[in-house]
Amino acid sequence: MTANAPIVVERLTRSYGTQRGVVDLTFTVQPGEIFGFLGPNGAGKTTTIRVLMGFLRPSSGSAHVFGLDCWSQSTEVKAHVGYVPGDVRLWDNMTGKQFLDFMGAFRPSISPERRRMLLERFQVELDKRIKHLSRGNRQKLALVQALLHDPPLLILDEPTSGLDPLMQHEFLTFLREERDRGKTIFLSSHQLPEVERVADRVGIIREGQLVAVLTVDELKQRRTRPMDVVFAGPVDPSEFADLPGVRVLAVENGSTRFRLGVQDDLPRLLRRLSDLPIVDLTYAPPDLESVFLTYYQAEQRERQEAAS
Amino acid sequence: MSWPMFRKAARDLSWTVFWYALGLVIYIVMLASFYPTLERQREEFERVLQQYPEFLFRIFGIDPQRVLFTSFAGFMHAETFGFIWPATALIFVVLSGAAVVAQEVERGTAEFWLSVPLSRVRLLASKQLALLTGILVIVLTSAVALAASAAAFGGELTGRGLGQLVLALTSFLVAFGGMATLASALTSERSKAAGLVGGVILLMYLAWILSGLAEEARWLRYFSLLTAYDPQAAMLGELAWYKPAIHLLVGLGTGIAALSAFARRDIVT
Repeated sequence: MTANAPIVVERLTRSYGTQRGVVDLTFTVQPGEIFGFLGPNGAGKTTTIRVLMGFLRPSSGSAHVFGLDCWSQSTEVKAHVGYVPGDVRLWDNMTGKQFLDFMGAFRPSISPERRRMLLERFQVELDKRIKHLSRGNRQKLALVQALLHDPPLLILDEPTSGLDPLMQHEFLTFLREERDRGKTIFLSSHQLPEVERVADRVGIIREGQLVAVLTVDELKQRRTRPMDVVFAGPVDPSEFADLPGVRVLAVENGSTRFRLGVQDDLPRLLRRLSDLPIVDLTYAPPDLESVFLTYYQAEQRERQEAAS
Repeated sequence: MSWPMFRKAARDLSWTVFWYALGLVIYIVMLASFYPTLERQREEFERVLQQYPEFLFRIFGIDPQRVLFTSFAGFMHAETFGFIWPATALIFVVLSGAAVVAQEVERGTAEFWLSVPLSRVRLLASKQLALLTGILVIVLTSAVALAASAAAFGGELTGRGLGQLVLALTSFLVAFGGMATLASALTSERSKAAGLVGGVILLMYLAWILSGLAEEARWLRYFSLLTAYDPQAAMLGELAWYKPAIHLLVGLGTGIAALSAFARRDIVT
């Protein structure tokens, strides 16, 4: 099963001279799942994807797509893959239609119905020259060309960047539909909420190393969402001490302004807040740093335990 | 070879080829139109030219030991095919050849270009073929312009001479076109690739001039592809076969080396 899995990466290292790329990555992407590849900018997501696409040769280790070696069999690999690069740069002098026709000419079977459906769904501008298109419209062209030939595997590097929120939502909905049709999707992103919305499993990469591979439910347990609360008068921080999924991160302005880290047990927290003289509340989306913080703290604890 | 890739590459080159071809055609016809005037005053003109130092002839690709204006071929060599034509056509070949890979990497379009299920060798070979087509268009339009000018202005030019000229010009550009695609396959910036080949051409040009000026520097001619460039002999139908063969071999060798280098290199945009 694993041997011909959509993506198998084993002990993959790729460096750029003395610069770090990725180090000793191992993970597998299973058929019919959306695998989120999550990490801050410069973490090594794009390097990994370029190895998968056969643009870069691994320094050591291996990467396989459907059992095919990504470097020596990259032509065959690309027959099974729809790809959107992280930095979409198209041929400026082509029109959108020329671009899609050109990219489609290399694929043996593109259904006109699918092409029509994609163009309608993503509202792609076909007649303008690409140099006159907005960033979002260029991104949509890149997405459509990756989906045109209905590939079994999509490799998408930050695919929603440049899209407006409505189109982002539409695209993520489309990805879930594709997953339900049995497609496998490798989605790189630095936005935790986006990955949480669509992914089944998540690989977290930082400074070139894979920190963890988790299900989305496991991820949700490990991250915290920041909540900023303003009270009419001073509040004792011990009010939150008995709430297990809540930590006080900062207290300011004479104990009237709190920043809380909320990992769990939101209903109890809201009940507690309603008993206090609350005047304002901001509940921010979860961020990636809070996930890393969880792992640092765990690592620190392990080191301390080992030292003692 | 890939037909969609060839078609795109040829379309990308089409306007550049058009303007270079047009410019060279106009130049050829314009210069050829002076031939009747110069032919009438040939002796007087040659006397004047003999006053000039040899160095001046050499830098414009003219061998003063050979006939200058005693024939249409000599005249067109001195005025066009000895210097202006190859210099102009080389600019086209070097800039277009340098773009085949390096420009795609530099502009970031390589990620789409290489995401199609076609080997790098086939993708680049299609672009090389498009460049060769551009070279042929430029050479053939110049050849047609030369033939028409010869007929219009009383120049002597045989079909054999014209055929050999096409061979000489094409093989000459193929040699440097191959080099330019090799430089492009090795680098990630078009200007670097073009600069590299431009530097090689300049060195070859200097070696070629020096080898003609001093007996003790004659060995330098073996280091220059310009030594094998002989459009005057071609127009007279006397081109030595090994000269275009050398150019074609260099073009083919560097072109194949470009394919090999491109298949092995990393693409970092």
